[in-house]
Amino acid sequence: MVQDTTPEDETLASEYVLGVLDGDQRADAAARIGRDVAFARLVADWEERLGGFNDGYKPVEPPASVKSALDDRLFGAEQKSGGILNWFFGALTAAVIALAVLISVGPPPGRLVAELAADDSPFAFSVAVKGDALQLARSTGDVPSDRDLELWLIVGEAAPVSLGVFTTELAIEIPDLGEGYVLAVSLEPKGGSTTGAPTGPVVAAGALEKI
Amino acid sequence: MATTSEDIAALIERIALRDRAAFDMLYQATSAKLFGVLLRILKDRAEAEDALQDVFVRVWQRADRFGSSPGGAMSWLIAIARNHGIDRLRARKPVAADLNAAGEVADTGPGPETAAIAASEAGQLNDCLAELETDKAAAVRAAYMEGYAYQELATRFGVPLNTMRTWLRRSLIKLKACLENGPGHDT
Repeated sequence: MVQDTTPEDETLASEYVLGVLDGDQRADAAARIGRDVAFARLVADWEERLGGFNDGYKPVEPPASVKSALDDRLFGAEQKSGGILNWFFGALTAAVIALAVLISVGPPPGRLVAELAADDSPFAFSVAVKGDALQLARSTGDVPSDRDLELWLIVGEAAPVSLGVFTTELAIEIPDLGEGYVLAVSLEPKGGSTTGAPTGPVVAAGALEKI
Repeated sequence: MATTSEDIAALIERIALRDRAAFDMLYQATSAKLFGVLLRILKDRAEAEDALQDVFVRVWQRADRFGSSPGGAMSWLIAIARNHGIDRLRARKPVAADLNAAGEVADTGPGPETAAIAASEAGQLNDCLAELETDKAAAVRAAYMEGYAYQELATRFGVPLNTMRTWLRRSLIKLKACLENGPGHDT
């Protein structure tokens, strides 16, 4: 049932969206949105009209403590999968989806390469895998003297597995790597993560490709 | 960030089905923008952090109500953040306007990527704002961006409360006509 709206309703909707109403008027208008479909439509129209202003809000990265507190609040501390870990998966969405598609193909033999990078990160790494030998070299980015880099292998939604700590290059033996497997590099305290999971920011990631 | 409005909408739909991985991805993709909104309105870092948590709690709880937002997923999220920020602002005990704190998160232009994404939408709004008198356009912008109530705007612009009310109501009517008909059509 859609009620008629008046010019006063239109004004109220525009003032609500503009944000100029005082506390009581604002609360009344907000309550009306929930019970008056026609008024809610007026509000939605004004949100769309003034949406161009949203561009002016400059993004500011919140501290990581907000996400872990949020997870505690919503899911309880015992279920928490870890703010950093969640962030980590989020950062790797595309790569993980690619992996999910490719994993059914299975690891083919032959040579694999990956370029690890991330938006807004100064770091980049190149990885080459031949047989069981993986070699990684840092292409760009400077490691602070009190930090190390750590390489991680991510398969599906399982927890990342550490492949080693390094600053400029890394050479390891690891069997059964395949196309689409995701590698990521995080910035860690000297000596690497002590928790078994990435604790610092993920500075680069990428999926292995066959050449 | 390569995340498009469609990607965000798809994440919200998954969150409505209680998909925590989608929730984490949405946080990763949108928390900086929403934190920017809350900082701009609240001008207090600790309160903005609390408010950001509240916003994502609401997103988790209300994701099933998404779908009717004509402006798209990001607009829906920003509306939740703005509304919560303004509600918190109104709930504060009245204090003198803290101009120093306002300077801390001063009006900064959009970054290049956000500017490109919203260029057409913001461009049309800016064209229409340009048809208003300078003071009135500035008052509309300050009202939206900072969440100032009529009384605070009147104080800041040095005009009586009723004058500010008239300014903004008339400006909104002109903006609506301009946005519907394009700039240059007098109402």
